[in-house]
Amino acid sequence: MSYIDAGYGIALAVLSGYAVQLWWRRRRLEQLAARADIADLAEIAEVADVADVAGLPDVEVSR
Amino acid sequence: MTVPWSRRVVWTVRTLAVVSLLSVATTVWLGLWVTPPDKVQRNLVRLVYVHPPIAWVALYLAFGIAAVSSLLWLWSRTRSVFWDRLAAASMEVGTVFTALTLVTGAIWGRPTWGVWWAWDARLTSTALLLVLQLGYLALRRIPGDPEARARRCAIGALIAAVDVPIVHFSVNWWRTLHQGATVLNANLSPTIHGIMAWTLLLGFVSFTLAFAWMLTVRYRIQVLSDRLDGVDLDIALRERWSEGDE
Repeated sequence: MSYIDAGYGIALAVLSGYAVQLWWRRRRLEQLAARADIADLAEIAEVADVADVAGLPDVEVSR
Repeated sequence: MTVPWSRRVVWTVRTLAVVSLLSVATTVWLGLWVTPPDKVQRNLVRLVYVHPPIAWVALYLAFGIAAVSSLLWLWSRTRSVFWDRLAAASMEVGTVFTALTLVTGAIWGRPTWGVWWAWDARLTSTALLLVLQLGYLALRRIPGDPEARARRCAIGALIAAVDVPIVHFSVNWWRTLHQGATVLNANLSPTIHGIMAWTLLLGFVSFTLAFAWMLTVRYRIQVLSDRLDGVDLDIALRERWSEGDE
């Protein structure tokens, strides 16, 4: 293998590997965030139900 | 709640990925098979189409964005979490490019100078830059208050940025093995012409586009990480409480 092949090969392999890793990390975190959002919504709905039963006024929930 | 990427942003990011991939592929094709060998360096000159563009991204683009973002975070009038996230994203992507700058430089140096490494001003200052970037990434991993973390990282980035002009001017200030600037020299008169110059220019553009895509995705990762920070702990606590209830 020549020095030129090694230079191009290493540069392209590292950048491709890093790009794929970034893509996977983003995908995994998007899924986790979506799950966390659903859990938050469920919690908000649960709190609202309890408040309804207790006859408490509606409160604005922000995060 | 997490704000998802809009369809327009998704489309832009995908387009950026495709365009950068195609432009890098074109640079490789032109660099390896189309451009002629050099009179002095022969075929080794082909490394000019990857090594300087990677160094450009690492030194000027990534570090420039990280330093300016850090400065804007530190300035109370422009302080925003956006600048802290952008600095973090730029520094991580830049670290990969700096490491590649050193590796591709060593691969070029071995047949040209006869050694993989020399304690030369340009090489040593670039290696120091990599150490400083790794230090910045280590600083970010220290747990604690996000604002305190952002402050110490911003200060760290600005201290590290002092090394960038030293790297740039090292070939002028000291007698080094490394050659002087080919494009951004003192006379601003490039010493490369024709298809070789165009391929080098394309190399700069294509690696800049690849960096832009990586920066965008890495920024999104930072947003999602901040959103999920502590979520694992919440889940663990809820599980503990439910165990206690049983």
